[in-house]
Amino acid sequence: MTQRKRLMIIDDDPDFVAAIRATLDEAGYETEVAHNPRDGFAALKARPHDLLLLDLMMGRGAEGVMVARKVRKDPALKHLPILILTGIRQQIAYLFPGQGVDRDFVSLSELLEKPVKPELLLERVGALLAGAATAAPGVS
Amino acid sequence: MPKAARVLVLDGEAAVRDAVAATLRGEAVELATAADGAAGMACLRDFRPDLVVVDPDTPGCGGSGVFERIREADPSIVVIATGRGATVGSAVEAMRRGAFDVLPKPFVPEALRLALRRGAEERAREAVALARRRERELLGAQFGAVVTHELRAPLAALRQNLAVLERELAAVASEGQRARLGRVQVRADELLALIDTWRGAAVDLASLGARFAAVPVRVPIDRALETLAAVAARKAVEIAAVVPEPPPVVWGDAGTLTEVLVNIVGNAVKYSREGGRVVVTAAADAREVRLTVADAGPGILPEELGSLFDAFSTLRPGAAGEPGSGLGLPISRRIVAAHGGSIRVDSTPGTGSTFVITLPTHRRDVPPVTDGTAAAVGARVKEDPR
Repeated sequence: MTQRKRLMIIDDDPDFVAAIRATLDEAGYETEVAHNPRDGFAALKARPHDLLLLDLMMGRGAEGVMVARKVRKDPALKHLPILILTGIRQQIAYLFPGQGVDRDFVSLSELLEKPVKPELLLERVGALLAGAATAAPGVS
Repeated sequence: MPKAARVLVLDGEAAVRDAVAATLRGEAVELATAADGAAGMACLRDFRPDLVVVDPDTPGCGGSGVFERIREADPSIVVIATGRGATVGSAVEAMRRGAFDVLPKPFVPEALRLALRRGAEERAREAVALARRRERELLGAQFGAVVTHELRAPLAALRQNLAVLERELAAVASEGQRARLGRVQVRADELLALIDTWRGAAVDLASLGARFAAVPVRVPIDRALETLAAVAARKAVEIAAVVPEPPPVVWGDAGTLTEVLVNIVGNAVKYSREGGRVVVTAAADAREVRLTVADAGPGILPEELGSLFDAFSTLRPGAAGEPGSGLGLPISRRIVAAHGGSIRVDSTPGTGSTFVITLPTHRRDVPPVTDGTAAAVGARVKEDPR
């Protein structure tokens, strides 16, 4: 049997996290949670993870975007798949006038709007993990 | 005064200019003087005064119109009118034209100081009011985005937990409990859909003009009727569209105009009795296109008409008890206003209601969009976020 996949969740809404964690735990994933970007990034650096589930709107604004950019720039983390969970898919362009969510970043990641159907969440998590395994065989 | 007030004295009398300078020497005031209208206007631009003391009889000032010209140059400037032979009539005229205070000549130094102090306080109040207004405008532009995120986040967490509970309780809950849990989820979804509707209207309206194209009214009418076909069929309400050929063309956005018609025709269906009839008519002249939506429902009471377009003013459930969000008409009115048009309603209780949407007619020298393009525009606006 293969080792259980470790998922990192960074989201500042404990109730939302409790719900998706229940879904992911039931599906057999190992989950770790951070409720702010700083703790989340530290956890990503401290232990290996297979996937990051990331909220965009945290703290004083779009701090999730900063986390995604830091992950992409980090040599050890840049291949980590990121699944964005956001309440503001339609408004992303509107809310960051002049900053822009860069195109590579969005196309590389999956983006789901909250709330997300549990089946859809599991399907996308599975697809991203499978994609990562194909792209980098030999990396656990 | 916290910082030196910048005062311009615009007066043709050298003795007055000198007396003012002498009075204000040693006070926290930066003073500039001008002896005629041209020099005064140049000073407004270069010296940027907070307060202007002006005699309308100064050469080149053109009488009491000078007060208005100063306020036009910078609405935040506080104007103090002065002059000889001031009467109650001339003082009223000066204030009507924008002066804050009147200081009749000859004035003693203490009267000048008092007028300037009061003027500086007014200037400070104006500055605060202006800052508040700017902040409100800025907030207004972001308001839709901020509020919908704040509303949506807790609802998303709630909905996510309901979905998990449904799975976890599937085996142990009774049939009644499962049904109630299902209904709770349906109601939460309705609330999410409502926020999304509102978000769409709040966020997009400001930039709607960028998407305008020539739209034959047939396009939004057909799309709205298609959307409402199922609802109308359930109540056996017939919707008839009377549109001349070729159809009138408006300059606008097919997607949001479709949303307006879905709201208004949808209301007509909602308030129609079973087996009723709703008629949508388009008519146009060179200036305007009128879209008329008439139903034979219960009508609207005169006392209800006033608040009809206010948010959350849903009058009563539909003929079959259908609830409403109370946002359809206010959103529709905002959309139509963004097109330079208007909506009004004529209603006779017991006979029915007629909504009339008036939009500016589009000139024929720009080719209209094809049906396909209009549909694509509509699809972008109505795109389901999930």
